[in-house]
Amino acid sequence: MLGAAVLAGLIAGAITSAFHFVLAEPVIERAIEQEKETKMAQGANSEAPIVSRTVQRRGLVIGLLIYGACWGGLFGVLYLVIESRRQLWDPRIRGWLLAVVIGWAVAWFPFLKYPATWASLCCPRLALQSRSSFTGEVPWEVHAPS
Amino acid sequence: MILYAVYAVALYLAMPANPDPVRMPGDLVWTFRAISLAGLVVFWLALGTSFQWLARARA
Repeated sequence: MLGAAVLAGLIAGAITSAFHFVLAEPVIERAIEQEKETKMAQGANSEAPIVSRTVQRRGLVIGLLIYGACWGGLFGVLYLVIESRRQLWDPRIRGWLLAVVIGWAVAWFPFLKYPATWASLCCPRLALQSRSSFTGEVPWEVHAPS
Repeated sequence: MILYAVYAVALYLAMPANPDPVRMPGDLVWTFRAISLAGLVVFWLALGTSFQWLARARA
C-alpha cells in the first residue's frame, strides 16, 4: 500500500509539473519581462539570474517529483492508520477523501492566509526561492522571508 | 464540522498578516496566485485519485 501511495505521489508530481509548465511558466516570463522593464525605466541594469531559467524549469519537475514522493509516503502511512479503523470512511472514496483533508490542512488553507509571493520581487536575495514560492510548492513556513 | 469551521476562522484571524511587499501589477500577481492555488488543488486531487485507482487495481 505504501508503494502505491509513493507511486501516486510521483504521478501527482508529474501531472502538477505539466500543469505549471503550461500555465505558470508563461506568467513567470511575463513577470520577468515586467521586472526588466521596470529596472530599465529606473536606469538600473538588469542583473543576470543566479539560477538560469533552464535550471529552474528542471527544478520544477525534479522538485515536484520529490515533493510528490514524500507526500505520497506520508499519505500512505495516514491511509494505513485510517484503514485500521475500517468503519471510519467509505472505502470507495477513502483515498480521495484523505487527499482532500490533507490538501486542505497542509496546502489550501495555509495558502488562503499566505498566498504565493514571488520572493525575488520583494527580496532579491531570495531569488533562488522564487520558483518554489511562486508555485506554492514549498510549505509556506519554509519560504517566509525573515 | 461547525466546531472545525470556528477553529479555522479563529486560526486564520490569529495568524499574522503576510509581511511581503508586492511591487508588481495586481493582475499579474493575482494570476500568479490563482495558478499556484490551482496547482495545489491539482496535486492533491491527482494524488487521491491515482492512489484510489492504484489501490483498487492491487486489491
